[in-house]
Amino acid sequence: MKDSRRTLLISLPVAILVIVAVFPFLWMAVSAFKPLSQLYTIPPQWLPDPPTLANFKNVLFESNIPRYFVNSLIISIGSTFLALVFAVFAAYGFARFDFRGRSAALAFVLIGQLLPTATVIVPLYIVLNYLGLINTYLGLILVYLILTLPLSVWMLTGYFRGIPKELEDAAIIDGASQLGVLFRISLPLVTPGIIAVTLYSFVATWNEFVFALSFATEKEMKTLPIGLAEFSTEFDTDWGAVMAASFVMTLPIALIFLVMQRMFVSGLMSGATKG
Amino acid sequence: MTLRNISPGVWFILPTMLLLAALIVYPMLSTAELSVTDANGAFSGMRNFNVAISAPSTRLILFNTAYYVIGSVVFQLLLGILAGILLNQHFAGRSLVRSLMLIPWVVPGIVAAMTWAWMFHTDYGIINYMLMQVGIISEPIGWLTNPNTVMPALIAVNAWKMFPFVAVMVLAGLQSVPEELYEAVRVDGASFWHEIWHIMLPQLRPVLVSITLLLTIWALDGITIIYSITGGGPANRSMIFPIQIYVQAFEYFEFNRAAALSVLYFLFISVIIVLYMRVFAAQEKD
Amino acid sequence: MKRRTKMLVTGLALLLSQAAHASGADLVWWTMNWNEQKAKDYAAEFMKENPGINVRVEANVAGGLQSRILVALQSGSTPDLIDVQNGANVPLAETGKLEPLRDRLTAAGVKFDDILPASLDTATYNGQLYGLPFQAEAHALIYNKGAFKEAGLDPEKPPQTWAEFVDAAKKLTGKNSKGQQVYGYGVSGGGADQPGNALFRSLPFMWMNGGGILGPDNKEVIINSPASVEGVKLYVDLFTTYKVSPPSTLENDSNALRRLFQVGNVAMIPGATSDIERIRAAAPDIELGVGPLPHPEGKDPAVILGGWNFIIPKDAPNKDAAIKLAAFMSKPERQAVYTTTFPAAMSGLNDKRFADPIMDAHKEMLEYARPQPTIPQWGQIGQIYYNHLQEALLQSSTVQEAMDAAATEIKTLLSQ
Repeated sequence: MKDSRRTLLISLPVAILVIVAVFPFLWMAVSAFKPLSQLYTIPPQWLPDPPTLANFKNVLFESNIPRYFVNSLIISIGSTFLALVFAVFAAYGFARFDFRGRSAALAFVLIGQLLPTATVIVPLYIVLNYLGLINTYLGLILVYLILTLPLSVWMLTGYFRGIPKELEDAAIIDGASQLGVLFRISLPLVTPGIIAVTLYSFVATWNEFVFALSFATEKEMKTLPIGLAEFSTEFDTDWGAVMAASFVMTLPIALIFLVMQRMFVSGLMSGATKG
Repeated sequence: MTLRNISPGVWFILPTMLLLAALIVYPMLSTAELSVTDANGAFSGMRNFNVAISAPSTRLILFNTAYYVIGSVVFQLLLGILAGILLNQHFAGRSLVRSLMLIPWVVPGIVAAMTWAWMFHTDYGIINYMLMQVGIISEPIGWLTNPNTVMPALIAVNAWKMFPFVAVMVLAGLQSVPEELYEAVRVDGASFWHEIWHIMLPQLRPVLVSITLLLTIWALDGITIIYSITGGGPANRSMIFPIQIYVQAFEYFEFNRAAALSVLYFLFISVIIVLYMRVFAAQEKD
Repeated sequence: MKRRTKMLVTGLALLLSQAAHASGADLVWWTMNWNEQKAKDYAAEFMKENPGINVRVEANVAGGLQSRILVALQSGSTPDLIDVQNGANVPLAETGKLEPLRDRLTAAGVKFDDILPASLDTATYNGQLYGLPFQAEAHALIYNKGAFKEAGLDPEKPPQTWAEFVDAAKKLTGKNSKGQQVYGYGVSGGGADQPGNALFRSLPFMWMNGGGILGPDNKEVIINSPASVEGVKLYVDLFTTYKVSPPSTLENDSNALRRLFQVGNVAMIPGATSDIERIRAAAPDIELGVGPLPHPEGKDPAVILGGWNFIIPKDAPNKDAAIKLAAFMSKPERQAVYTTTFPAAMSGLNDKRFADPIMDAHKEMLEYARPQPTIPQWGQIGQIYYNHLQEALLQSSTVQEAMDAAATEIKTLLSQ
């Protein structure tokens, strides 16, 4: 009796949330299969009649999207990985040690996010140009650390704090080094947090437009959001193609997350048994 | 004074601090310099600040910014926490639902904004069409053209866009809640609400504290949604501070004024962060 | 173990920074993405004629174009030749980062007397020429002949005067025989591409009536003069009083208006020749008519001149080659291909690409086209005007009140 009430209590809001989350995307996806004449109608037309694959053909075979997909992949993976390496150490430092200036340092981590994009972009360009990193993968990867590091450090600090200190203290008494504790005890325990942060970094860099626009001017370096903008001309936007391309950009991430689910449920129990 | 006196924590954080400093110190100094000089590089004192603040719409824009930020963060948190808690329960198709829920966050911001603008459109938008079909409204509503509905509509879009992020972070936080805690209260026959209030939310506290601050910062710097849906209109009714800065710099080419606005903005957020961390740190010690 | 990781990281970094590096000796030409192929073809032809020069074409996108150009100009590491919208030419020149071009281009053989004078005005600042126009366009009135027939109007006779225009718009508004709601005219009052779209569509109403935002010397503010207010009032009244513009007026930019036109919801819109192409592609069933923009009885039409110019940054590493390339592209027959509307070199209009009689009204409007005021504050003035135009469209103030308020703000701005 109680179980069925609980099921209802959960499945009804879940259903509503899914509809709210997915509806605009479905509207986009449906539009990707519509010919131009059916995109904007009064009243709106629900389904394409007949559906066309022309937009996908355009995106996959006639546009720069496939090339930019590879660029985006390299840059997003590179930046996500770097952010993670730096952030794990920093977050552990912030979470487990008390030292002078700790709060100030934690606030400083956020500093890159406190200046509006519009004002940092010119000086950043000058910095990158000085380092010879305009139009390189490394240039964008580094710049994206400004976006991804602060969040990664802050969130992982929170997750590390959630681990009972006794677990670590026990290991240290057993003679483990500080680094050993981090890698063998704490890190496995925050796996879900790591995945969440990885996902964030990936999404943030995958969709970033302004930095990519300014720091990657050559075709060999441009990323997917620029590719989307290339479907626009001075007076018009090829919406069918934009929708199809967005579809191509969005689905892989949702699929990756679907596969990563198994790692997401590890949590304290599995970690604790290992420790 | 030997290296040994330094806390190991400093060594842990040092690489990150150096890296961020390398990237951000020059842009910061350069912004500060621009804010007190004119277009020819001559010192101009507080002039840029005065001009930037004296714009007649400043009060309206400040109000809009506060409205937008508070509205967005509140709904992002509410929806996100709700979603995170629900997705942590056991039910059929959970993995699929978790992935689907991510979609708003993963869709490129500009495309999401344009799609919503299209759905909200008074004449060919799907939202008015559905509401009229069902009979909830008899006349099309000008969601984006009515000064009373434009901000709620934009806040809804922003909440929709970022709630999955909160959900994922909350979900990750809930993973580390030991099962024994639940079992302990379930033996006593505690309700689902009881579990949420007395176990999940307290355990999520450190995570939520960080998320709230980050969401606030992003809402304050997030121009994509408003810029590409209404451009701040109608008649500045949805204009916010960061768009003003972007426009000053890249549409009016007034880099010095944009820099002055940025400095003000920077100081403002810094104060928020310091206050926030004070409160948070004080509570922590209790 | 540690050393191996370190080597791996260094190696990776090296690999990543090596990718795609261009030599500084290349002439870099920033074209727009829709012109990329044409630019590449011309670059190849140009390199054949000038064996010592290597041209590399990079394509910009319209979104964020100004910011991208500005970032490059401000940082000092720039391309050599850039395509810009003519409205951005003077503000960019005002930053002091553009190269004056008149003498060097004349020496390189550019025939300035063939270029539309108004186009040259868009590139002139403080008496110096900072751009070379290659594209020019002006709006005309595009209308749906089928809707005209339904409304009992002569589809071969588009409205000429304001009185005829209001009359036609009223007659067109209503349910058609299929029960579909039709509006006579599409006022642009909002959306994303602003304030440009609203300015291009409403400023001509002031100009034709002898008014404007600024006086002829660009110093006097005349936006609240009777002639100007009367012009704006007509534009606003189409929505608020006559109700011949759709309810979505305050969210319609040019793209939204064209979509409404394509589905038959709006019967007349102002637009360029490129709009004709797009409407034909999306709604081949609509029979299109084009006429000059309607004008007040006894007065001439007027319209804003749109278009594109080449600019050369002051810090460009290959200025001489860029001058050569600009001169090469100034030839009328090349402009006739490169433009997406009309060429700025007038003899290029003889090309067969522009022979379709549907373009006649647009060619005619070119004669009445004026540049936007070429002062650096124009961008802000446009925004101030647009904000108050929206106030009037929202009916939160009268047109006179709104334009008075705009005048005060613009005066303050100009005095700063």
